[in-house]
Order: sequence, then structure tokens, then C-alpha cells
Amino acid sequence: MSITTEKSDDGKQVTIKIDGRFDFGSHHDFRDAYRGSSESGTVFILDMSSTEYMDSSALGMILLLKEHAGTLGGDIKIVNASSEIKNILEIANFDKLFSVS
Amino acid sequence: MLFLLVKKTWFAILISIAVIAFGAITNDFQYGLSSLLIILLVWIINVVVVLKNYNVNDDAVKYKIDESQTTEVVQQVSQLSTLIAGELSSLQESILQVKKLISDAVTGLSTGFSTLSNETRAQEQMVMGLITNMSDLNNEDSEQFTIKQFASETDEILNYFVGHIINVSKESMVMVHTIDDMVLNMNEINSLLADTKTIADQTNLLALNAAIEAARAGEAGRGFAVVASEVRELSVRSNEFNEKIKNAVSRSVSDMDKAQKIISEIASKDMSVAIKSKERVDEMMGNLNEMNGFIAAKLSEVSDITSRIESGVNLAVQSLQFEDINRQLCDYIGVHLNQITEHFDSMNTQLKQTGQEIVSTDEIIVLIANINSLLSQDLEKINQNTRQTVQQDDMSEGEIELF
Repeated sequence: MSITTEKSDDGKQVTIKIDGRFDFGSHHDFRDAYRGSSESGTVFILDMSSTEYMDSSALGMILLLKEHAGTLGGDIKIVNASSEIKNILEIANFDKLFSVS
Repeated sequence: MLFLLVKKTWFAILISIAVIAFGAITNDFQYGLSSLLIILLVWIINVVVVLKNYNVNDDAVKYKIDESQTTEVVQQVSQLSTLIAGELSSLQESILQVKKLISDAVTGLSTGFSTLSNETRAQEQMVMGLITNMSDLNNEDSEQFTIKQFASETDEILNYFVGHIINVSKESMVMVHTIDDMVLNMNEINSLLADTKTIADQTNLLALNAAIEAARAGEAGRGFAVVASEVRELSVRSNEFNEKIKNAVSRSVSDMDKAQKIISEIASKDMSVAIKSKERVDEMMGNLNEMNGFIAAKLSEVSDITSRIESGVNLAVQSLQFEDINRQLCDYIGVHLNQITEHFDSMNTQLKQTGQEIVSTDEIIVLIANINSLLSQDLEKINQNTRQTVQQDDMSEGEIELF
């Protein structure tokens, strides 16, 4: 598990890349990845190209990120999700909450 | 003489053959029979005329026969007509028998067909009931709890639980974050405690220095030495407090760690179970729809077959009207046979009289002409009746409902 964060020059787009397992163990790093961004209208992009596994705590964390983005008037997007990850996101109806691709 | 007979009656023979052939081809038993009988009569008349002509024909003097021969011929014809009358009455019996057989068979067939028709109707009603039921199964508003509703309810429950799990996870994560913050605060307390320990240590050192200075001051410093000792005592107590707080904080941190572990258990639920359940429900819904479609298609096919059976049965029942037409035909045949029998009887009587009293050729001609005219009238009647009967022989019109 490792989480890397990339911020655009204007700070309005934060890309969080999650490698390996996305579960309870990631909570600290994941929170730290977005907690520092406070630019209004920031869009958080979750790059899940190398995410192998995701449990309900990860879904909870994503919801908290969405709440955080909401307070900033921004949004979140999930990109490069594998079919298994997409399955989980669809079961959770996350595809109705924000863009999942 | 035989040659002459054939020559004079070749037309009648030809027509006989044609009629027999026509009867055989069309299976029109009644028509063929009636016509055959008439032609037989015409033939007999011709025979008599030919025989009579032996006497009157000037060119055929060599065939002249005497009156006793005429009488013999008349007797022969009379015998023949008696024979034919007998045959006719046995024919009438046979026709009656045929009529009865057909009537019995048709009654049986009619009963069978009407039972078949009723059963088919009942079957169709059953199928229609099933179809209605099937469409009710698809009806969401139906009061009955259907399999489809069960599946969609299961889906809803599953969604509810998935939502619930995610919500619990989210709230747990909020809690975990709060605990994280608390741990940070505790660490801060720890570092603050380190500061207070330094202060206490320095106070201790200061108190020690103060005590030394008090001792050097001698008597004058005695009071100050007591204060220094008290201050030292305070710094030691402060250190003890510090230690206790530090311990309490570290216990709290360890408890928070435990709490985090418990929350982690609550928050981390594997989603694969939910995914599998969802897949199963989706599959069930798909199968159900497929099954519904299949059953509906088959039921409508069965319904189609039932209506085809019914129209077939209706056609068969309609076709059974042939019995009525046949009965009428049989009746006509009976009537005609009766008429023919009567004419034979009267011809017989007249021939017998003729045979007894030797008559002139003119008289025989008149007699034959009379019989001929009677038979012509009969033939006309038969033709008329046959036309009337035959008008009904197209069963498909089905205008007359007899059963």
C-alpha cells in the first residue's frame, strides 16, 4: 500500500494515486493526502489504476473525501478503475454520486 | 335380331355406361342409381318398340313375328318388371338402413365433437387464466407477493445493507480520524509534560542552590533554607504528578489504539459478499424475466392451438350437416323408387292385360307412349328434386345449423 499525491500548479486539481490494497491501513495516509488542500473548487482525482483491493472502509474514506471536496465546492472523480473495483463502486452506488471510469 | 336391338338402343347403352362411370367417379350413389333405373326403363321400352316394329316396318318384313310371339315378349317383359320391382323394394330397404347407419354415426360424431369443443373451450379458458395470472405476476401493483417482487425486494434490502455498511464505515472513519487527532493531542500533552518536568528539575536545582546559599548565610539564612526545602519538595511532587499524568496519557494512547483496532474491525468489511449476493439477485431477475417470457410465449402458442382446434371442430360439426342432406337425398330416392315401383306395377298390369287380350300394334304403341310419358314426368320430377337437394351439397356455406 502506498499513496502518492500530485497537485496541479494552481492547486485546484489534486491527483491521489492509490497502489495495492486500499483498506483501513490507508486511512492515515489517505486523510493526509487531501487534508492539506483547501483551495475552493478543488477537484480530487482518485487514480485507481494500480489499486488491487478495496473494502468498505475505503468506501467510507472516499465518502469523507467527497464531503471534504463538498465543503470546498469542488468534486471528486475516480479514474482507471479495474472491473473489480468498478463492481464494488457500482454496488455502493458511487457511480451515481460522482464520475467513475 | 340381337344386332338390331343393340343398334336401336346403342344410345341408351352408351348413356348407361356414362352414368355408371359418372356415378363411380363422383360417388354420387343416389343420382347414379336413379338415372340408371330410368335408363333401364327407357331401354325396356325401346326393346318393346323394336319388337313392335317387326310387325309394322315394311322394310323389315323378314322379321315379322306372329301375335303369340308378341304375347310371349310381353310376358317376358312383365316378368322382368316384377323382378325389378322386387329389386327396387330391397333397394329401398337398403337405403333406409344406410339412412339409419349414417344418422347413428352422425349422432355419435356430433356428441363427440361437441364434447371436444366444450373441452377445448374449457382448456382455452384455463390457458387464458394462466396468461392473466402471468401478467399479474409482472404487475407491480398486484396485491399478491410475486417472485419478481421478492427479487426486487431482495435487491432493495441488499442495497440498504450495502448503504448501511458504507455509512457505518464512513462514520467509523470519522471516529478514527478523531482518535488520530486525540492521539496527536496526547503526544502534545506528553511533550508539554516533558517541558514541565524540565521546569520541575530546574526548580529542584534552584531550590538546591537556594539551600546552599541559605546554609552559607548561617543563622540569617535559616528561614530561607526552610523555604528552599519546601520549594524542592514542590518540585519533587510536581515531578511525581508529571509522571502520573504521563502514565495516564500513555494509558489513554494505548486505549485509543485499542479503540482504533475495534473501529477498524467495524469499518473494514469485505465487499465481495455483497457483490456476490447482488450478482445472484441480478441473475435471478434475469432468469425470472426469461422464464416469464418463455411461459407467456408458450401459453399464447397453446391458446393459438386451442383456437385452431376449435375452428377445426366447428368445421367438422358443420360438415356433419351432410347427414341432413343425405337424409333428404335418401328420402327422395325412396320416393322415386316408390314412384318407379308404382309405374312398374301399372305397366305390369297393363302388359298382363295386353298379353291376355290380343291387341293391335297401335294399342301397344299407345300403351308404351303412356308409360313413356309417365316416366318422362317422373324423370322431370327427379331432376327437379335432385337440383334442389344438390343446391345444399356445399357444406362450407354452413347456413343451416342443425346441431
